[in-house]
Amino acid sequence: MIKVQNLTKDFGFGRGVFDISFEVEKGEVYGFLGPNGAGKTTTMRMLMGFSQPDSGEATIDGKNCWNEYSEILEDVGYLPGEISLPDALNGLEFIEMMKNLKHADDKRINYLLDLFELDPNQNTKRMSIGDKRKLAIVSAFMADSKILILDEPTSGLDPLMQSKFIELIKSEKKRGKTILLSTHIFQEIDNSCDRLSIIKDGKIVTTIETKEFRNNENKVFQVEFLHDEDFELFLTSKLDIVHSNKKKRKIKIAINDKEINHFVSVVSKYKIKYFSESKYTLEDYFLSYYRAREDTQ
Amino acid sequence: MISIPLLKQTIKSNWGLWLVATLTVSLLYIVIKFAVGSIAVSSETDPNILVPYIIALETSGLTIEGLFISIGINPEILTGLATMDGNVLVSIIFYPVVAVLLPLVYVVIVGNKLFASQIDNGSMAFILSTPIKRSKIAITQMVFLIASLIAMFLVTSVVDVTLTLIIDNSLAVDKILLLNLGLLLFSLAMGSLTYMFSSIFNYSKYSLSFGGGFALLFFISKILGLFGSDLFMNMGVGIEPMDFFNKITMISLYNTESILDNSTDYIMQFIALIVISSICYSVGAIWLTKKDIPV
Repeated sequence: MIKVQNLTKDFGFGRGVFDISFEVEKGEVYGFLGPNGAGKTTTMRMLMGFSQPDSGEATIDGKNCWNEYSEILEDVGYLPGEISLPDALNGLEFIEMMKNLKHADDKRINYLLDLFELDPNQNTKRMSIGDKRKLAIVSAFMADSKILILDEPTSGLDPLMQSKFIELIKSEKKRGKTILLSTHIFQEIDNSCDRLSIIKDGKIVTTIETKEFRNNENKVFQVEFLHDEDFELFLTSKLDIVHSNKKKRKIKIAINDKEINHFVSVVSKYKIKYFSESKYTLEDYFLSYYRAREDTQ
Repeated sequence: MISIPLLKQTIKSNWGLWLVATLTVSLLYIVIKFAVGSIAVSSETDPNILVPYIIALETSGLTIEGLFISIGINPEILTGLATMDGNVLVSIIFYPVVAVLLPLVYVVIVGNKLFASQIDNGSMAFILSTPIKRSKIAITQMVFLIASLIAMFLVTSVVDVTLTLIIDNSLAVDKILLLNLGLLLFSLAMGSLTYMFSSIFNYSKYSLSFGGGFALLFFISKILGLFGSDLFMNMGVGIEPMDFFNKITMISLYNTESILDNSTDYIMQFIALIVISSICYSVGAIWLTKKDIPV
């Protein structure tokens, strides 16, 4: 559905995106994860036809994003990363303008306004950041477009609205929408994406399936011992110890779900202060990936 | 060809300034017409006062020309002064120096708002994210700028003609209409420049610097150029080298002298203004369809 092939846009000084490729299947939610300035927005701008790639090609539904943008955008809802509303329009007039430009219908708009509890009848200059963001979200979803391109969609929303937004993403996915979203917040991606690419310094460093993380059979447990002797003795056990701290008498052990009973029976023989599972999340993966990369540089 | 929703937004965003500019130009017309009307009344001089001077000159065998030459002034200006009509003089200077100011401010500000300021603050993203074509955006904004200037001059021309008929009938209505048409054509050409800069630059600061910079350059050059103009030279207060400034200001193409002295120079200059407008509006519109828009 969305296809990016060897896309390059060089702004100089190492900024831009360089030779990136990825593909978003129909009905898939695809995440774009990376720190600020990594090139997420730059890529989305090229997909929207705002800017022309230096080389490579971005296509949506087989159409070239730069040459055939007006046909593509019939089916695309877009949420900009930075919300700046047109001056001289209040919220209601803005929605009215976007409705006419995108041929949207009132029923859908009212549904979205209710969902996000937004009263659009206010001066946009006096709106809170969250309300501006909601207005932009309504505009992105109002035409019920088949494809959604969302640049940091939840920034500026309070936690309640963030979860409502994630629910919206999930229900849109069920309705067969193809969604590309960028973020630097992990939960957003953890909860809603099928696949994601981690992007850094304008390059895609890795692409992963998020369900591998959700159904991960490998867990990490952390155990803290009361006595030094127990700590020392435990180190000799045949469990897969990934980390130990002698001073704090702490040990981290990697355990497969199948070995959990064995692990508990071993641990029960020691005097321990506590033990807890530390879940290996996408965030750990992301950060470990980044740190590893930084170490090698 | 144009997008009505976008046009509505542009109108909402600019009608206030349009109203201020239109009303101020109308007000200037009211002031100047009253002023010129009063000159016409007060300039009735009593010929009896001149009699003793004439007798004195005749008996001494001296001439006024001789007097002028003796104090270093070219006597030719006497013919200029004798044939000069105060009302015409006011019109020649008023339209391209005073009346032109408000439309200049209008096109500089509105021109910038059409593209550059919306790209600079990022709000253009919403319009660009809809299926509307860039060429349509460019044409819609162009149509607004041109139509708003035409509307402005319809209003001010009606005010000007009405005042001319009521208060000051020193100029024929067809001359008034030509003066206003010239002002419109100049404003459209100036608008085409600000439109083009607004399309070329992604930052308000650059778009405004170029649009406003040219407006200021033309305006100040016009005032400085007045001292080198034939008009001032004939009055004996001219400084010929300052005619240079008339060559660098586009306001020279709005030739009020030619309009009022029945010569035909102004026709070619009107055409030149139209050509400039056509080029700059086209360049601006095409530029917008080709460039990267960082929103």
